Amino acid sequence: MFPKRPGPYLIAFLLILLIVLAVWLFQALTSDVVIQAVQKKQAERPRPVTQDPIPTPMPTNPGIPRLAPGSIDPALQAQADGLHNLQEPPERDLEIVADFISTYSKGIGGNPIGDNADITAALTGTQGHKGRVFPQNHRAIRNGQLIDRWGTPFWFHPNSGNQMEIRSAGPDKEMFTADDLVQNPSPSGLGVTPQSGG
Amino acid sequence: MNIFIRKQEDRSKPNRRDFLLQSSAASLGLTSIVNSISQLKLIGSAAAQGAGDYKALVCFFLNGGNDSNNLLIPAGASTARTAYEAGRGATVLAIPDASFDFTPANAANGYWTGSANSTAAVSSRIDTLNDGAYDPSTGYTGNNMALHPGAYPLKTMFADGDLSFIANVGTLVGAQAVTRTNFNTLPAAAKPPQLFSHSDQQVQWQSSLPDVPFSRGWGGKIADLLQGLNAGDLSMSVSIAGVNSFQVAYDQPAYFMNSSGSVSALTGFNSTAHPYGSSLRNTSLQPHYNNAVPAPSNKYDPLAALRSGGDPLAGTNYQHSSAGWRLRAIEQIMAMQHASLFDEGYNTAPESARITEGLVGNALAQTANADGTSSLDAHWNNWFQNGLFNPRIPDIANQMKVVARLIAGRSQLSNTRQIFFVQLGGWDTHTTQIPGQTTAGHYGLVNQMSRAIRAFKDAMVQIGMWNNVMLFSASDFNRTFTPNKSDNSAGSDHGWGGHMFVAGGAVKGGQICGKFPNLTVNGGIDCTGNRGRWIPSTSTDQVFASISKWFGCSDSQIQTVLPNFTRFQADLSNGTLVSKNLDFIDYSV
Repeated sequence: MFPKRPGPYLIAFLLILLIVLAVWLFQALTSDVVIQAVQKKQAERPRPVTQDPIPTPMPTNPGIPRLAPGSIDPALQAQADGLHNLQEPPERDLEIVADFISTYSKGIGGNPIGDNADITAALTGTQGHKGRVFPQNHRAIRNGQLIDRWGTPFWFHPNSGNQMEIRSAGPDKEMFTADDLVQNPSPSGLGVTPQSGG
Repeated sequence: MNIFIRKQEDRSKPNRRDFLLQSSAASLGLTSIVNSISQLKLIGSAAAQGAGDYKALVCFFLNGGNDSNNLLIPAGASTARTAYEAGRGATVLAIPDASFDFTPANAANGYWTGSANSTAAVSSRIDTLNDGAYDPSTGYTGNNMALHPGAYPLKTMFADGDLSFIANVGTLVGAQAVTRTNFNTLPAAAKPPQLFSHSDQQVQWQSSLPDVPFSRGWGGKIADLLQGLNAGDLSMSVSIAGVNSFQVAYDQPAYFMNSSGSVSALTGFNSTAHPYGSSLRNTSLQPHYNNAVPAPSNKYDPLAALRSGGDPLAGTNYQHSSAGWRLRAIEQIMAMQHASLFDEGYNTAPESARITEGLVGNALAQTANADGTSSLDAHWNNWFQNGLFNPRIPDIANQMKVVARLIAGRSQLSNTRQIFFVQLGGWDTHTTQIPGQTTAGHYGLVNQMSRAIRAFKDAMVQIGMWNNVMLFSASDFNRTFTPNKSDNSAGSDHGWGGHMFVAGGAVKGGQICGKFPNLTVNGGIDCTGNRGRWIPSTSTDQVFASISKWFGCSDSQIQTVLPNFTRFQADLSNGTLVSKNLDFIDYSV
């Protein structure tokens, strides 16, 4: 009476049942009566009341004073004020300049590039540069260049992205002479100067 | 598989499952065959490239930043010349126009004519084959160009069609155009990081990948990709000037040599006067240690020595001398077995060095004279007369000589591709750039460089390999166009785009390729400020891609070597190269 292999017949029966169910569901959901009932139910539902959020006041920290436009962090200002301090040895000036370059590098992600004017512009945040770590109106800036305590612009020599020679011409104001002061001297081989060239 | 569990027993009538299984299997088989055929094609092409088509690439690096504003110079009367004199300072850094026609002051300064030294008048003015194609605006240079007077030997190569310049080349990222207007406001990622910094720009020139942390040099990448073309044990990369970024590779670390023309051996040994074998008491083992034995039996192989009748590590095999003890000690260290893979790997370094030491010794021996000189020395002696430099042959000339000797001895190395690195330092001329002497300052550097390269060319012509060699110059950067002082102690500072040159038998010489810069300071392509630091008009990628193609890289390999290349140039088709004025290689040579 029953077939030896009922599997195919069972699958065919289930397929027919599925098709019948699908047709019925489609007709039920598209009937006008059902659609009107759903719309009526939605219209009766109360809307949630919206309210503007109460603005939260910004937390204030009395320990961090707001900076005036054009000024820099007081700690950096104090460090800048140490430049050209005649009570300190002149080598200290080079260390301070190196510290500012290091600070800039940490903030921006690399040493400022170019010569004295470019580096001064970068440190003071002028000419489109981002960030400012050195005061724009400092006495050590003349004609857009950082100068040593004898009035000669420092000489910057970028050896790598994180190592820069800083040279002061010294009291004789002549660069590359015996009285020069040098921070982070350049490696030999490049031929930077007759003294250090190779 | 499934075919054996089917119900139907009659295999003469395959069902659907059979069909699918069999067709899949067939397609797999077909894929393999097609794959194999394509691989065979590749192998065939590789073999064709490797068979007798030796090519050597020489990177001539100018360490410190060459002032190429004073290498390729506007001459005569032109808008460019006026701007040149104004920007450089007519009496400061500018090379006077009259200097291009000169008579060497004495015999030492003279030039080799092919048969004798001559002090006759010469001129470093050049006639370009591609007049005007390099001008930034019509008639800007008036086709009046000259080389630095010290570069007269290069001028002879330019005139002979063996050398071309590529103007205003530099590192570029290529993601966004760099202009003077946007230079200071562009995102950092759009410009090569740390412009004007020596080591950063050196690395970027030697990797040609400024926007990615350094991992390999572009020469090293080529060596990794093309290592299959070489059969010898010596690395494809050989440096005569120490560690460099250009040759850093994953699989092909550079072999380092000095410029003395002999391989560096253990203290107290050398390949000729005192070879390793001379420290052995057991003469039957000496062939395994002496460099004079042809490859491959000259390789360091203690086991082979053991099989030949003696224990190479036995104390009785070594001479009872300090040299014998040293050799025994190093042999024992190299023969040690290590449990750690790292230790084993580390141990292969000195072993590999011993192997290549022998190979290189054999290669150099091909041009070695009994008195320690070389059969190629004459070319360098011709171009470096007595009394010109002290010592007579400067180190850079000796570096080039070693390269020439290795190329001459290539049969001993079994390699069909070599990449060499040589370097001349001292180009960071911040002060006294023009001291008024032909052997000092920038003049002296240009003089050394040019003579060394010309002598190299003559040596290559002698051994018939000039067509198989390509030399290119590279440097950290060009220098500022304006001087940093107004007197004769002035120098120049770090710039950006500059002029480079390529030389070789395959070079379409006599051209200025790329685009010569508009020499307007404080405007134009002066990237920022008023020093004349040119924004490059051609990226290093563009030049190096052409060179890579000549060396044997496929288009896909060039993409690996220079991933940024297509940001600047669609392809290396002739049409593109001509339109970019970068058609400087004859690939059929």
